Amino acid sequence: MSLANSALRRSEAKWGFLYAAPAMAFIIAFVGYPLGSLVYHSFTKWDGLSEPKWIGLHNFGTLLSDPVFRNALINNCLFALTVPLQVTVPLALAYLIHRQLPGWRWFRTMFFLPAILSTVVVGLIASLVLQLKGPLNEVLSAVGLQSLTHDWLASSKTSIPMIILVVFWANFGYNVLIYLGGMSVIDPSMREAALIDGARNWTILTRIYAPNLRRVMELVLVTSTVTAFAYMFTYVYTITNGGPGYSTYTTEFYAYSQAFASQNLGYASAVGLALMLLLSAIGFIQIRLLTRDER
Amino acid sequence: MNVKAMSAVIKRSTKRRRPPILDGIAVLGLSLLAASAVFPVLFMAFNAFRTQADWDASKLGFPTTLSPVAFERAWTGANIPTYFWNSVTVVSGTVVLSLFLAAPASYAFAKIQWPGRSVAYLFTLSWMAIPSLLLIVPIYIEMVQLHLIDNKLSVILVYSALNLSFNVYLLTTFFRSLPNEVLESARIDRASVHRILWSIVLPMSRSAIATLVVFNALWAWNEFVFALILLQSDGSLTLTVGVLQLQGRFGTDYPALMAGLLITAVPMIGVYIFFQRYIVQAITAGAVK
Amino acid sequence: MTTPNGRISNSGRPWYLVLAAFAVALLLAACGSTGDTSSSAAPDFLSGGATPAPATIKLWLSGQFGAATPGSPYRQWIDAQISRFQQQNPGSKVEVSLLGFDNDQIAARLTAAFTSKQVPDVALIFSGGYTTPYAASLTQLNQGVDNTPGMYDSIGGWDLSCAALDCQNGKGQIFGVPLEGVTYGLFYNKALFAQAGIAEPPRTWQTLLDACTRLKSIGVVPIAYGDRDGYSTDNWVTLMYSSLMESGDIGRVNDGSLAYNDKKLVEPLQTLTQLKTNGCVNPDASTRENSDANTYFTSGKAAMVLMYPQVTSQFQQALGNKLGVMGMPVSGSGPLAQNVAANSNDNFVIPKDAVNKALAFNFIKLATDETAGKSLLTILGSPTLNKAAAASNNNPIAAFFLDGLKDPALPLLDSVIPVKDALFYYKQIQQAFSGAITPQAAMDAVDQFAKTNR
Repeated sequence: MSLANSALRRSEAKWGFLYAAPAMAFIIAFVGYPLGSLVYHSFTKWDGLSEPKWIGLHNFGTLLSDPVFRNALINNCLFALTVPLQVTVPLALAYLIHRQLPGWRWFRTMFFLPAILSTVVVGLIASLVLQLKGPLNEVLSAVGLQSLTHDWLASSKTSIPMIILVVFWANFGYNVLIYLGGMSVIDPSMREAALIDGARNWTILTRIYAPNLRRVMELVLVTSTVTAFAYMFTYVYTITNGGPGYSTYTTEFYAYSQAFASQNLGYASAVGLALMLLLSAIGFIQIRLLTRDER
Repeated sequence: MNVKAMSAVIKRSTKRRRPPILDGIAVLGLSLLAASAVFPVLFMAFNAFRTQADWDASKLGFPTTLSPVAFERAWTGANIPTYFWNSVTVVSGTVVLSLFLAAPASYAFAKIQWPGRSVAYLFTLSWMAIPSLLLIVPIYIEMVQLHLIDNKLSVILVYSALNLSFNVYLLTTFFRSLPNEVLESARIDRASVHRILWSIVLPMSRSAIATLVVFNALWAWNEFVFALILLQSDGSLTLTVGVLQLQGRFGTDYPALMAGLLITAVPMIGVYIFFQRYIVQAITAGAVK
Repeated sequence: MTTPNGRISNSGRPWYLVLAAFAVALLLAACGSTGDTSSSAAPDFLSGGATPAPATIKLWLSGQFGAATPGSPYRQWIDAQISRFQQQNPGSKVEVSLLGFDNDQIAARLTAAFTSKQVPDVALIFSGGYTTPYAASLTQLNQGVDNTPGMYDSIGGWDLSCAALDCQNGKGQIFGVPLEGVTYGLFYNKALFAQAGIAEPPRTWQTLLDACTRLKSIGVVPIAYGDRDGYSTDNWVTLMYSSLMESGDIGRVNDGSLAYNDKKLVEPLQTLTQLKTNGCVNPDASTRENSDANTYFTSGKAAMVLMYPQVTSQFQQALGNKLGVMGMPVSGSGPLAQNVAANSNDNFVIPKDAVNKALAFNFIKLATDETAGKSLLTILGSPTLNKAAAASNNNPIAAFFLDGLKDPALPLLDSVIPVKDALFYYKQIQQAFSGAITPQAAMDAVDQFAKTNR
């Protein structure tokens, strides 16, 4: 490096920091500060109207023995079961499109449509479709599968799998497109060579494409996990409203209801914090995996 | 390759061709999936033109008339013009702010060497792991303290902040893939950092920026929870929250509700139809690196 | 990928300006957006003195009017009062906001408002359990009521609008002015009843079950039920408490001297579950929303539905003279078995931090006077609590409800108890009705919950 170059680089270095600073400051202001506030308020008892009262670890003690919280956490984990679905199924679908199955352009267009709709719209329509006299049961009866008809939302045993399906349905097209992007840079001659050697499509997919798409799969893994823990609120709110009873509560839904309906803002903060601690461990590991080769 | 060898290759590959029946099943499966994807839009559209009586009988069915009365009821009943405009404002504000925050930062992380860069990058990205909804209570408290409740600015700030980590990740990954030679030659030409970013890098990054714009716009348009809590009075609601008002306490006017939901969905569907090729390219390209 | 050419323009600097502009905009927005936090040292607005200066007041609607979207009869009534207000207070206007119909959502919005001090000038909220938690943030209205001759006596059902749920004939602390009353009536379809051969409306529980059987035989759902949020069960069981309780018992439940799992509360719930086990309700009773039950009824698919009077106009529109209403069949032999549980429904309140209190109170006076009460009856069929307006009623359905409000047996349980407890209670009784848990277990849970929150 020439002397001039290194001087230039030094002055550039200053700009590196200054360019990144606004973004970091913004995050600290609107994500970091709330996080701090969350931590603080989780040690208080607060109804939103009077002053918060410090009660130390009391909220966390209650949390440990709170059956609703435990159940909500379990539900979040259940919803995280969509993640393997979200990572693998769109991969297979993308491959089918990639190898230009008849109608592939059409499929590619249609698959992304659910992602365009608001989750409120999706959830509302899902709640109408899943009613006892709703379209799903109508269709099942029409094709002779009368015995499979259910009041899908009457119990968490049936409503949770349904919500998982809805979430998958809303997001799969998006993941398909991401995979397609990844596949487009894989050398097509590899596939041709494999075909000539008599390989079946399944083998091509699993032995050739999947390994080369590891990066993309990681991306999908991260975004799907975030969805399962961070974006279930609207689905729960519109489809089951947490019911019956508390059986379909997710952790963030519980925090919301504790804060705004029950006016336990301190406890709500504790709920949020507990989940966050759990997740930051998982999230941190994921991020380190993703940025490992880029540092 | 001589003709004999070539025909041998062709013979072999033809012999091992995948049986068409499996292809047929795959096409059938994908068609069903595609049909399910388009179902909600049809569901809303058909039911917006059917009557309440039709709906009571069955939720599935073709409309018999094309009278837009339900749309009129939704339009006035849910104050749609105001909400629509609010949504547009919020989305535009969010996209612009997000870009202005993420682009410089991503360039700094991708192409500038500075001390502490990797730590700062990790720091910025790590916030992605936080489920945004869990911050609903403290963000609400913060907006109270800033006196921004019921102000659209609150939502714009929150949306931009919540997506910043992801936006930075997206742009940084993309910028990293840009060849250094171009930037080096610009440096040799004594171009300043700003010029490099604005006149060279950004124009080269159209697809990534398009991806960013699409994601953030879509997300902001459809966002529900923060809008629900931070926006209170009638004049400031966005479409996603406002349209739910069509659900009544004593009985829901379902055709009007469907019409209202359709109005909420149509703009984004329109964007998708018109910019589809571009969007698809942007997403697939953006995911490449 | 495009290659750069030599065109390096002078465009490096502008991004600073844009960011600076944003920062400035942000600051301006932050500072300028409110600026209307009033000082609580407002002039004595309630003494009935000088006319207040014209302004636009903010009116928030919840309770029965929470979904008063333009075009609905509820909005029609509101708009009528607004034009009267604008006439009598020239230059002043009213800005309406709806808080939604879901109780959780309403509670959330109110909490948000009071916490952030971004409050309206006047709000219409449920009296009792939804007013008293906010008492500290509400303006006491005694002076205004005292200085308006005849106001206290012209309106009934005050007690839930006061501290300790007792207005002491106007001497207690008044926080709200009641608008209309609420109780429940068992609406029924006279034509379907005739078709099923039911001669007269059932007066006892057993005859109700018999009527169910008859209605099932003509292929009709006997009772429409929308219990996803527990509201239907709540409606029924609240009335059934009158069959076993004594005067003052609801107050005792509220202060803890009568346990939630006392048999006076468990037995009615157990009796109610017979409706489910006997197939008297629609099979998806536990997953349909409360408002959907009304649709079953108005479309003729169900013969009965237990609802509050505020749906009268809707039902009358759909069913005309086929619409009838009867009292809750008696299921116990307590001293109040022949009376009805009823209380005031919505009341108007003025938050302490409101800006235009004098105008707000003018609006309240207007919306609770005889003219407003009369139109409440004609437009909505709602049982107004304005005594003069009630006396002039000639709608037979409304008459039924006004009658019940004259001498209520008890207030409604979920109007009195804290919102937190009510929300938990709804969930428990919903599960009890659907059969997921036993009524005893449900009420045990509620008792436990209420104890830990007291």
